[in-house]
Amino acid sequence: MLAELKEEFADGVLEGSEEGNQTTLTIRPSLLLDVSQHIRGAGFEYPADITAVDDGESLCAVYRIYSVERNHHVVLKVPVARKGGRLPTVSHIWKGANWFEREVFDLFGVVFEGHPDLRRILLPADWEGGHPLLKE
Amino acid sequence: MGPQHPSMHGVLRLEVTLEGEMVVDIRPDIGFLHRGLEKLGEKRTYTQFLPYTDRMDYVSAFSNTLVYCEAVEKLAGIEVPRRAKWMRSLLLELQRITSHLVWLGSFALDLGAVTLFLYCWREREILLDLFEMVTGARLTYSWCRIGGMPDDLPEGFDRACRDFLKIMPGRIQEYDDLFTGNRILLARVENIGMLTPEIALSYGVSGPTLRGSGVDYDVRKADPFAAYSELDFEVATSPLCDCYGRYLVRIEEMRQSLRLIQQALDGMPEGEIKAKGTKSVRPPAGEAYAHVESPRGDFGIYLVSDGKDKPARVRLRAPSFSNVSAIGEMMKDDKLADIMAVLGSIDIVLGETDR
Repeated sequence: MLAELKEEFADGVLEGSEEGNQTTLTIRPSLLLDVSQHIRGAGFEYPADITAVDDGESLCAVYRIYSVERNHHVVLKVPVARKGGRLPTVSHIWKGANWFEREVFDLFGVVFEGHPDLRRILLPADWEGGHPLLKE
Repeated sequence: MGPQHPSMHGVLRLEVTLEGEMVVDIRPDIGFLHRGLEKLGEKRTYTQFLPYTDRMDYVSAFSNTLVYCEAVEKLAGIEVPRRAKWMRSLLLELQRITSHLVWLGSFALDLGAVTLFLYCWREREILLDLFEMVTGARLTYSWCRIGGMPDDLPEGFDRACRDFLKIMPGRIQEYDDLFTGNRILLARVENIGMLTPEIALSYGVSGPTLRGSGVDYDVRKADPFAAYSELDFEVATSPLCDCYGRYLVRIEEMRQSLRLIQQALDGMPEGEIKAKGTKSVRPPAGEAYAHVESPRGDFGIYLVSDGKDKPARVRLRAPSFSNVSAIGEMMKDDKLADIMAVLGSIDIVLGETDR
């Protein structure tokens, strides 16, 4: 899987590793849609999780997509700005991404461009306390 | 509908658009039980966070604690003794039946069948007594430790558990006779809440809700944890894609769980129950993802460590979150009164949905 993706998206793959039944890739944000379309076409149909990790200096969105057929996980890591970060939505590729992206927006403040319904999901709609999972 | 509707199974609110009696659209509104667990996890040591995990899926507390311990063990590179692994599988299957009984009883109750509810609670009581024997608690056990189990199985447990194994197959048969194929049930569940396998997967739906749409995905087989690589069972699926399919899957899962419990009791290895030096852990910088098959589906925890005594990130991937997100798709062409049948058939717990 790793070799296949590296060949297809050569310069967009910043880092990659493979362990057991999981391939982990760090990719440029501009490639997110292409890589998503590609792996969806390759049978990765189940969005196990979409979340983000803030280490205090940089924010990274983490997509964990699974293929039942291949019993394989692909984890995509996409760097995104901590303040005013924007990424394209993948909710048209995986329907479950709709809620996952809403949660990342709610708790980290990342805006997903093209999302059909980008509202807070866990916190109240009128919450004024910002995005609580950012480290500040 | 909701969030305080008596048949809502917790604080869920549904925005329902109707045309006469027909459902046009449903938008679930969640978050009423949000306690910021992921944030709390960053403010506690690895050991301190353990009891919090019980409070996610409170109908199946053991599965949460289990997946948390498995994730920390992966992150810290701890090898769990074999006996502890077997105890984990044994307790998870007891928990699965406990949880499925809550589901069956309340599902039947939602559809107007009060008797079955009483039967399910009768058997659940035996299981809660078993859990009380082992853990001292009946609902939120916190009965897993990083590196193994907190204590061995108590004297008399083996016998009590075998007594349960003797009576339970007959009781499941009783539910079957009373409910499965019953015309009044079928009128409420057949061709209701249709969910195609493609749509289910696209939403990240898992557990019996996914297997009721014919998809053979079970974390116990796909990524074996605890002792499942050594145990023999079949993954229950149904091609029906409706509320009835999901019902049949859970009934069969209870039977498979009994098989697993029998094997775990018979083959329980001797030996240590906890790895040495795991009282407090400080995993090296890195990350780990572990997931288990909880009674509701694919429960995953993603941990990131920066080398400190507290995790840098605790991501809790709860199956009910994804499962309930698909309810709008499932309700197309159904009636208002079907909402309760469909909601009951996906067996959600808001504690894990909202976290």
